[in-house]
Amino acid sequence: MLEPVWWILAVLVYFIFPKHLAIASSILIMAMFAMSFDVVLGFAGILTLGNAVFFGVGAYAAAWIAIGGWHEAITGAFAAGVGSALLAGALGPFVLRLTGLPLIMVTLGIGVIFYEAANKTAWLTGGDDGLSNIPLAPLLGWFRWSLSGGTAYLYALCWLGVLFLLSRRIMASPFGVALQGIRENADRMRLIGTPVLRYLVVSYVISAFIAGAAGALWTQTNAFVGLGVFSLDTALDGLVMLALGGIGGLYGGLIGAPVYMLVKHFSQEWNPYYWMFLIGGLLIVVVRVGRGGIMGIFRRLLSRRPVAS
Amino acid sequence: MSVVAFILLYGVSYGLVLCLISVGLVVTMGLMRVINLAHGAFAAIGGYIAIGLMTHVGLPFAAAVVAAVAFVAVLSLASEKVLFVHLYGAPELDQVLMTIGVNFVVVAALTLCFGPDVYPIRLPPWLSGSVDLGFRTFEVYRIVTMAVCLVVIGLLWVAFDRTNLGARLRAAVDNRGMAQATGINVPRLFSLTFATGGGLAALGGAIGAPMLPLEPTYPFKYLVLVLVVVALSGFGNVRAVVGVSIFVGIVDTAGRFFLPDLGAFIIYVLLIVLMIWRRQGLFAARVAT
Amino acid sequence: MKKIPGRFVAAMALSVLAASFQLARAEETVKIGIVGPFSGPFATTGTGFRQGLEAYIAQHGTEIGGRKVQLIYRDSETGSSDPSVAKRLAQELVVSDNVALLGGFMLTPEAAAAAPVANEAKTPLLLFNAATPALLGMSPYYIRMGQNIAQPAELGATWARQLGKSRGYTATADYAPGHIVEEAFAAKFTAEGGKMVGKDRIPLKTVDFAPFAERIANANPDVLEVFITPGAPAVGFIKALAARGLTKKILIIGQGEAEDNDLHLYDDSVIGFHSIIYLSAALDNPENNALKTVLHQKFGPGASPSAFTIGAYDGLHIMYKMIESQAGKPFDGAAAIKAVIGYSWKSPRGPVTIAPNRELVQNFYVREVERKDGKLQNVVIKTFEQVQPPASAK
Repeated sequence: MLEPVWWILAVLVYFIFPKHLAIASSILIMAMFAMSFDVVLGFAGILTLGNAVFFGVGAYAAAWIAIGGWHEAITGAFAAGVGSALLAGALGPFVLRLTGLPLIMVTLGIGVIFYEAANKTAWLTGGDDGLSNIPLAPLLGWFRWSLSGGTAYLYALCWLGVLFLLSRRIMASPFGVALQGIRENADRMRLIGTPVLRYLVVSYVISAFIAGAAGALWTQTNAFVGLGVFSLDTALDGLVMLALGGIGGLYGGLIGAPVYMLVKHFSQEWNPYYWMFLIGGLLIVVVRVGRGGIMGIFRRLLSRRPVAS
Repeated sequence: MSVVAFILLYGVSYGLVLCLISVGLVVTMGLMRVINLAHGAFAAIGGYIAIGLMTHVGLPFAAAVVAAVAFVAVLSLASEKVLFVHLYGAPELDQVLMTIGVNFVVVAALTLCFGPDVYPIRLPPWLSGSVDLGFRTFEVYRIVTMAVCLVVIGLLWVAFDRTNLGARLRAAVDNRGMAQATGINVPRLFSLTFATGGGLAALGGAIGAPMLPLEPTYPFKYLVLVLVVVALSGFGNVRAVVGVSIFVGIVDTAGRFFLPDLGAFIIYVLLIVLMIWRRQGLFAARVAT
Repeated sequence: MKKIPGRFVAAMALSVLAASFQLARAEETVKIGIVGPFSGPFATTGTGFRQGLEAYIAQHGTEIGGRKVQLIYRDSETGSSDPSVAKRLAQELVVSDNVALLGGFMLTPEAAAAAPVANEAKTPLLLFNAATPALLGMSPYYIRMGQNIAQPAELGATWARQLGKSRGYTATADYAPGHIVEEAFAAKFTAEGGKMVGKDRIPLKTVDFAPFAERIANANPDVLEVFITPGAPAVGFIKALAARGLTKKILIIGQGEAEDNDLHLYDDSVIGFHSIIYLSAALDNPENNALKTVLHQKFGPGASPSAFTIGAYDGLHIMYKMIESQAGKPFDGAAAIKAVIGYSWKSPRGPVTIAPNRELVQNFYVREVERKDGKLQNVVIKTFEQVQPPASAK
């Protein structure tokens, strides 16, 4: 279908915009972050504002791994992702018993606590200054991390591709279908014997791994990590990007991230506050016309049939 | 002794302002089941308009506040009919997203109209200065604020408990279907409640402005605090809001006083523990799920 | 075939030669990248940068050392707490726009994030205002145009002791620069015979400062060193101190909390507030007066030289010096930096010299907020001349 188009475009960007690969890498990483939201929100229906916690933990873990002496990037990012996943496994059984506003509040609260803790433990996190000059060995022993960001871009793109395929596999499996069932009606799923809490925790863990890996990539491509990775802004950004692109279906984040970041980037040139108007307006419109987001609009245009939202 | 006095006086005055801002949201969420993350926007708009009228048009403080409250009440009514009515019965995610969108738009509008800095307030002479209570001094402004809050909340309480309107509201919160079946005009009740909630938030934002400074990001900044009060009160539980707000005000103030390094943490840890332990709120709510 | 007249050929040759000279001259442009917060909550800093740079250009033109200077501005979106934007912008400026020099970088994390870029591209980067001591150690291409945050704190302690104050208290914002102020003040104060009776770290997001004012009142100090982010937090804090009666009882020393540009946000509770900083809009020297004239002409009577304006103004001056030092040869970052070490000049802030460790030797002024001619202003009451910077970055 139209699927390969996104990936072909992504590869073409490397050749067409060689001088803008820094922002392109940021977009890929935010797309990955938004995708992690999709797993937990789009499929499992868990309304969490706390995925920035896993992003942040992954980011700092990758920094510590590199500063601590392990300079290999790929395994470093993987380990960081695992770290976030473990955290999710520990928090999940408690947090996921809640739904609705209490769930939002608790995930928000956890996010704020991590932010403040990171701020306080400056000896560990560099505090407000962050951790900089993070040393990384050339990728696969051969590709140097160039100033132009080419290596970083392709690295992020590969990670995104692999995680995307994995996520799709998982979501298409019986487990994934069960998650969607839980999203639609958890009680009924319980009645037919699905271990709801356990499945929710597993989806939470998977989402945390993706978010953590995205955070690790962030640190690695920037050679820097700061407190902003834990901020509420970051969490909201991820959610908004996903909503703009379309929730569920895994492509939402991949479409929403470039749209959001490019709108932000360009509208800042004419007027610094217009981007908030635009994004706010877009969000309101997106919710009004149905959850499909931009992807939904495409689908409707392509099938030329009115789709009930 | 003076420490206790400080914490009580400051914590209570802070908590009462929070109460005014939050009570509207408690009722809205209880009645309409809408997670309105943009509620703080009403408080911000109310505050800005009141201070703006006072500073640029020269209205006396009291008149400016009344004008701001009236304006925001009308604005709430209008926005309810145009935007929020679509959120009734919608999935929570939609509500969260749409109201975040509204927040963005409001923050952008406030920045464009009033600039990105904190909005300076010059209190009128009758509100400035401190009064000597014998064991310590206390700002006149905080005393007046507490008095106004108590009066307004008292009126609300009476309205909620003793009037027909209050009874209808309580019925609709408890069981909307049944209420509608008995002939209560629920949509009209929704609009009225929303407008009142918005107006109250505006009042809180306006008289609370010296305590909670007005900046364009106000809706986001105090969002979490307001949600804390709402979550701990339980939806629709108006009576609990006063107690919970004062509790939050005191815990926050005391936390900052005794453990300034960790002051920020305390309220959130408390929130998480309480949410997991008693998710219906501190006082068992009367809401039908 | 007609013979082409020799005069014609000569004339053609001469004009071609002349034209190529023009072309060669016109193509020699040096680009400078300026990264600052031109939008969002810190937009006033960005405005200060821009005003300082444009004022300098108005006075000195855009040509130096046989080259034309071109400034490229990029918005670091500082309000979104994402310092990697600044790094990305620095990268793009160097790779895509081929800048020879970088300037700006308001916040320490931004400057820290950009260090690898400066190092790899060997591009000098002038920090217009960032004050964290550790920054200069991150790159040999960094030069500081502002102050080292430990300096005013130490001078505050010295001055307080000179005035006979013996019970010290610090209230600083809870992030790295605040911690440095806290330590520097306490160390100096106790070294000179004073006693510290307390210290508070105020979380950055605080809006209600009453508890802190209460704590300070209970400890009963006679001097309070503050370091709070300017804007809403500073205003709120000073109001809380005033409400508790502390502004009348204690000597309060700060840094940039009550700059002239911000005084309109305060009420009379700020009168008597002292600050120690490396510049003052009220200074009466030829350079400062000239700068003020240009600012008023270009930006209206409200424009005033803030720390950001002067940091950018002096920064561009040093950049011009660097370009001049490389006249006639390709621009070499490391050589340019060597050329300006030890350079002294008269800046609007007073006489300044660049020390070997790339910090500045400059005056520090003690100012007090007074109501003069009906409005609040900072008045200089004492000058610490030519203060040596701290020996090495911490």
